[in-house]
This record gives sequence, C-alpha cells and structure tokens, in this order.
Amino acid sequence: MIRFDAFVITLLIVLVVASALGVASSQHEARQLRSVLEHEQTRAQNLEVEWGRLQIEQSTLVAHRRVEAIARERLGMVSPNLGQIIVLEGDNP
Amino acid sequence: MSRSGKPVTFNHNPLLQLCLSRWRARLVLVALLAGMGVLMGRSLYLQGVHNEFLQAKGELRYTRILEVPATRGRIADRNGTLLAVSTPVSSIWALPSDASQLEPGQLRQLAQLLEMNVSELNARIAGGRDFVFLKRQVSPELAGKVAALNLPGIYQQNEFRRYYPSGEVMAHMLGFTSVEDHGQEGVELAFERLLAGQAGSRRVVKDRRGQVVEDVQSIRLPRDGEDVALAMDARIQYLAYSALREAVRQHRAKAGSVVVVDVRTGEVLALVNAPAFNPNNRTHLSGEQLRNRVFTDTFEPGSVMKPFIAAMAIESGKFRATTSIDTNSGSFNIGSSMIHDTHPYRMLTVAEVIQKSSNIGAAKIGLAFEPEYMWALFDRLGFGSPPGMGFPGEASGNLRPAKTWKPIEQATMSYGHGISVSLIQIARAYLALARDGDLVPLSLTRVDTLPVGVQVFSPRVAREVRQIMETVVSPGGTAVRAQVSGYRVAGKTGTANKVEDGRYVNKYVSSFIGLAPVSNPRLIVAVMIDDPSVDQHFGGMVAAPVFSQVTEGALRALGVAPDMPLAPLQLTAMGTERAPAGEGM
Repeated sequence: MIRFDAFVITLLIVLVVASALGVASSQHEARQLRSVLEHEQTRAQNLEVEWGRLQIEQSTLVAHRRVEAIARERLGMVSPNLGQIIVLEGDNP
Repeated sequence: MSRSGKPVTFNHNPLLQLCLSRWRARLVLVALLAGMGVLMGRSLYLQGVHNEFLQAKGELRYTRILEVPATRGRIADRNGTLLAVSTPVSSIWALPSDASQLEPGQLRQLAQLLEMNVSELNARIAGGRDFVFLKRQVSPELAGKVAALNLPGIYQQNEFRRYYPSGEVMAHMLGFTSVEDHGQEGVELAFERLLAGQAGSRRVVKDRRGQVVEDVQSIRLPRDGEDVALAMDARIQYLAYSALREAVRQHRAKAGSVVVVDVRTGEVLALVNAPAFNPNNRTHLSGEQLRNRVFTDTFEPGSVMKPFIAAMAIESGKFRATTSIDTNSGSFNIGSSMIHDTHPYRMLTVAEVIQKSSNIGAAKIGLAFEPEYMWALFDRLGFGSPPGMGFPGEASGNLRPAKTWKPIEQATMSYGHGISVSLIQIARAYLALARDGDLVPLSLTRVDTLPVGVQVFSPRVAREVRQIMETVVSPGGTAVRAQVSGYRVAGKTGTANKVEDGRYVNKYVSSFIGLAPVSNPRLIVAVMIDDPSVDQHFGGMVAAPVFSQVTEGALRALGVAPDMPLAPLQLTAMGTERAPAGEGM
C-alpha cells in the first residue's frame, strides 16, 4: 500500500515537472514565432510602401505630358491625320 | 564532571534538563503559525482578490500600446491610372527640455541633414514650447539617418504624404489634403468619408530589446481608406488642360474652364480650370489659382441659352424650326430699353436665330411665352439650384422667381442675360439636348448602371435642335472653327458682357458648348474663357477652337467612329484648318 502511494506521488511529481517545462518551452516558442511574424509583417509593410512608391514612379513616367514630349521630340512621332486612319466596323460596344 | 569518563550525548546534556513550563513552547508555536497565517492571507488577498492593481502595474512595465497606421485610399481614373497615392513619411520633432542639451557638433549634424540653418534650428528648440516640430514630412531615408544620430530629445513620428503624379492637370478635380492627411478641396474633400482610413491600435508585450513578443489584444483594427475610381479619363483631362492653357495664354484671358461629359452616362470625363496649381508643392498659392471655377463661378451664359428657348418654342407647338421672325434690322424696343444684334438681319427662321445668334429673335421667341412657363423650363434644366454632386463650393447660380420678371428681363433672359449659371450647370443642361430630351444627374465616379433621366423635351425636339445647332458650326454659322475633322458636331457660341459691381463692363465671357458626334451623341464639351483680352472676344473665335481640339482628341481616345464621309471631309478639314491661319490670329 505504501509502495503504491509512493509510486503515484513520484509519477505526479514527474508529470508536474514535465508539464511545467512544456509550458515554459511552448511559451518560448510562441514568443519566437511572434517575433518572426512581427518581422514578416514589417517586411510586408515595407513592401507595401515600396509598391506605393513604384506606383507613383510609374504614374510619373507615364504622365501624358512626358509621353507626348518624348513621342514628339525624341521619336519624331505625329498624330495621324484623318486620311491615315482606317475605321473598322465591328461589334465593339 | 566528566572525569567519570562516561560519554555524555548532547541530548542528555544535563544543562538541557532545565524544566521550562510547557506553555512557552506552545506560545512560540502559536505565534509562528499566526505569522504564517497572516502571510498566507496577504498573499491570497494579493493573488486572488485584489489582483487588478498589481497586474496593471506589472503590465505597465512591459506592455505597450502600438498605433497601427491605416493608409488613405487611392484615387484612380476610369482606366486605373493612379491620380493620388499616399506614401509614408516621417516628421521630426523635439522635446526642447532634452534637446537643449545637444552639443554644437550634434546640432550642426542635425541641421545639415534637415537642410536648415543651425540658428534656425536653435530658435525652434528654444521657442519655449514643450513640443516642437523641426521638420514635417521628410523621406523615410532621411528619417533613418536622423534616427542613426541617436540624439537625445529628438524623435520622429510616422505620417503620410499625398502625391499627385499628374500634377497641375488634375489639380482642381482632385483637390488636396492637409498635412494631417485630411481632404481639403475637390474630390479629396468630397469623398473624405470613403478615402480616410482609421488608424487602429493594439496592446503588445515587448522584451527588453524592444521586440514585440506577444500580441495581447487588438484594441481597434485599422481600417484602410477605400480606393475611389473616378469617372474621369486622364487622357481627355490632359487634352483638355493643354488646349485650355494654350487658349488662355494666347488670348491673355483671366481664366478658363472646360468640362467634358459622357452623354450616355452623365459621367464627368474631364474637368479643368486655368490658372491651375501644382498640388505637390503648394507653398505659393493664391485664391485665383485654387478656385474650381467650373463649380464655384457663375456667369451670365449669354447665347448658349438660346437652344433651350428654341427647344421650348418648338416643343410648345407655337413655333416650328422654319417659322419666320422679324428681327427688326438689329434693334428692338421693349418699354424704354432697346436690345441689339451684333449683325443686323431682317427675317430669320427659328433655326437661323440660333445659327446667326440673333438676340432680338431669341427675345421675341421668349416673349411669346408666360414668365412662369420659361421659369419652369429653367428650373427643370437645373438652373438656380446647386448641381448636388457633393463637390465643395457648388454654386447654385441666380434664377429669380418668375413673378419678379419684367418684360425686358424676360427678353434678355431668352438670350442668357439676367440669369447666372456655373459651367457645370450649363453643361448638364445640354445633356437634355444631346440625349433624347431627358436629363440625367452628373457623376464624378464611374457609373455602371445607366441612369434614368427626367424628360425635359421630347426626343423629336431634341433631335431637331441638334440639327439646328449643327448649322452653327457650318459655313454661315457663328462657330465654323468648332468643326472637327471626321465628325459631325453641333453646339452654340456665347459671348456675354461681364457684370462688375452691378453694371455691364467692356469685358466678356466667351463660351462654346457643343456635342459630338451628331449622328449619335457621345460627348458634351463645354468651354468657358473668362475675359480674353487680346484680338478677339467672340465665343466662336476664342472658345470654339478649344472645343474642336478637345472634342477631336477625346473622340479619338474613346474610339468613337467618325460619322462624316471620308473623301469630302478631308477637303473641309484642310480648308477649315487653313482658314484661321490666313486671317492672322
């Protein structure tokens, strides 16, 4: 009877210690993962910022005034006059 | 004593054989137990009952509340071209109490980075306030460099800055935001509720290196502002702005505006004003530049009102397009007043009154109707009430109640004097003529379901008036220069004396409002040039060429098929293009 009690108590102690260690390690792991997540979120935010800046850059590059100036001056392009335009009849709404 | 040699164990030390009374031991035991009880009770109290206070104190030492920024929505045109984008920037600020201890060398470094004078920087810090912005809205790179200096009392805060890649071309349409990223003008203000994001916040646990290790609670989720897709077409807007700016410069006009409206949907495809401003650099702005004249400025429209009078007359059945009217050779008495025509004629049909723009003809048609009847028409066309598009500063114009009209006033109103409208109002009213007599609301944003209109004229009358307006741009009309190669266009010129301090002065507002292509109207282009001071002031000379330029480009950009036969067209196109040059503009 006494031997059985001792066994149960030892077992419980072992279990308690194991669970305590488990809590500590999972907490640690959670914090590490959180830090990774945080890092990735910052990266995502920075990419978002970068995307915004690229969008601005793109819309600055395709600004009509700039395109027109390059087309006319550097490439020597002209607007076609009406005789040069052929209109195709189609189902275009 | 120990000489007997008998070993004595400690427990049997005779010295301990003292016989103390039992209660003393008991007392110590009770005292110790009581002490333990107090400690346990206290710890139970702190852990279980009164725990909020200590938890709060503990959390204060490692939890932080972080602001989660939300971005303002973007504005794009109908084809997805971005017109306004927010990017993060930093503002550098200082706590003067700490920053005043900066060494001269550090100050110099900081001043160099911020591109400020050391003395200016010192003055800011020594300004005697608790908190001072050193420089607002610097680039993230620069902010990083400032942070790397690691100066005491110098901090930064993240903000957003709005960029407008298209610059002054869209300035009045888009408006701008304040340094706090709130809408101040234009679409930015009109759609503030949609565009503005709401910053969120969350409580986190930080470790001693300042890294977030645990997300405790999201107090408020950030809500990013919604993107707004405008009805505007950036290509047409650019065309309109270039044409208008050139015309304002050429005629040394005070100002000018152009509005382009899609006839099928009521969408505003372009809306420009000159003079404009650069929304990305607003340091030297004047009210003149800021005014969105299309909405805020009303003017006496002049002859551009005549097509409505003609439509009213034909609709009523009292007149037909071919009905002849005696225009009294250029002068006509009403009571004690006399009205004139610039070019005197005798007998003109209703169609010719529009084509030649005869004031007397229009006045005689108008006087054939009751004032209430005319007022009701103006009211249904939207004059005298704000257009209701949600744009800041919409003017309603001036339309007096019909009861107060004297005959001379009714006569002048028939040719657009004594009534004032904004350009957006008159452009919208022309929808009734361009469509089959119905009027739909205008929209700044994309329209996906076709709007239902309010019938103002019958389809037959609208078509007939369109044909009459086509004669305005034909040889013999007042606006031959409004012609567009390849397309049939129709419209009406307006040249109105300006009113200053209640009397007419020798300044003019030249306008042309037209639609194209006549066979199946797609666009309304309204042009207004305020006070052209060089060479010409007639709408047909000043505003009509702008109309032609904008309409041609816009129809091409939209891929609208030409509705004029090609062969004779090329001849007329070349003819009309050469004619103005020959006259020496």
